[in-house]
Amino acid sequence: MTQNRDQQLARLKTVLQLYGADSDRWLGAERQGLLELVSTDSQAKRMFEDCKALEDCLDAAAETVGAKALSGLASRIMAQAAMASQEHRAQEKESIPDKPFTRSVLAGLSWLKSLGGDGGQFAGRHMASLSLLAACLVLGVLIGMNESLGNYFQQEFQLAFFDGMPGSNPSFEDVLLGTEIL
Amino acid sequence: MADRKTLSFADDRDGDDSLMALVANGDGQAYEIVVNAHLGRVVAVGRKMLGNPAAADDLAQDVMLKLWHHAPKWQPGRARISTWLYRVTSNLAIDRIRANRTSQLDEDWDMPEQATQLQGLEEQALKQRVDRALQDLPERQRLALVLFHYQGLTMGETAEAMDSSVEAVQSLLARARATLKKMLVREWRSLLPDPVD
Repeated sequence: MTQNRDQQLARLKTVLQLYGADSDRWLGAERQGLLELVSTDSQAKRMFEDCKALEDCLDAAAETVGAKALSGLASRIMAQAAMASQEHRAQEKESIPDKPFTRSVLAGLSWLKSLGGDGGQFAGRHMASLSLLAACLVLGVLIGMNESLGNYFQQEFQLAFFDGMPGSNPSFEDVLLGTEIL
Repeated sequence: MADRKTLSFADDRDGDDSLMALVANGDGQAYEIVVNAHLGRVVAVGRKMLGNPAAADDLAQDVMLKLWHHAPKWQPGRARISTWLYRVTSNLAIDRIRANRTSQLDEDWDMPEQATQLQGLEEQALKQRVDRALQDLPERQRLALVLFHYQGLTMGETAEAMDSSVEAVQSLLARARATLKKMLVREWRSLLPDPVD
């Protein structure tokens, strides 16, 4: 009996050290037993009251932050966040090269991103296809804009085409010099 | 995506994730909801940890702005906003305490502007003595006590906010209480039902 009481007192001491005197915070499985001990044992009661008094001291120093002070601080935080966003957007804008084509691509991507619901899901599902299509379009435009690059691709195409024909094996120079092959 | 109007500062994780998704898109109103819901707790922890309201306000401002910048990297399902805030507040507070070991409690900040009643003065004096005792605790013990006792977090939540184990938090709390019990012996004994001199 005494050994059991000593064990219970030791457990109460530990629980008070860890969780404090608020029994609602004790482990549910042992709460009832410990409260019974406190109500029936003078030493347990003393331990509990000491702990409770310390917690009352701590509670006297609880922080109460006034609504007015919080409101002012919240306004400052919102203003800071808005300023940070503006700076971020300005930096992003500066980092975008001043090229109409780049701006168009970024605008297109932004539009895709902004699509909600099905549009967004569509863009997500077909991103690879869309990317390939965009790359082909860009390549086509570039080739079209650049005459020498266009000639090069035309020649490469002719070589590849004639390579496949029986009895025909033109050199690259032939094609480059415009020699009639057929 | 959830509509901001249907979201309060709900403590549930899904609500937090939806709010943070809006914040990540630059939604100022969603951010305001988060700030208003959590600022009080952040300031309270800052005051208890730093012992200075102005420093606590600066800390709270930095914590909240960190949340704004972190929003695009928010990982749904990982943590509640409150847990994230407690963790960042704890880390920043400890960093500042370590960077400014010599900082002292503001002598006047807790004094009432017009304390006309003796009881009010006694309460203020007690608060100051407790605050001084708290400031004398090692910062990890102080943090564990602030989160568990003053903020009412569970042992597990305290451990999560402190990036620590439950066992470590239990040890910190036990040592903090034992130290405070010695430091504030006159104060708590005077509050006993049968005061002992």
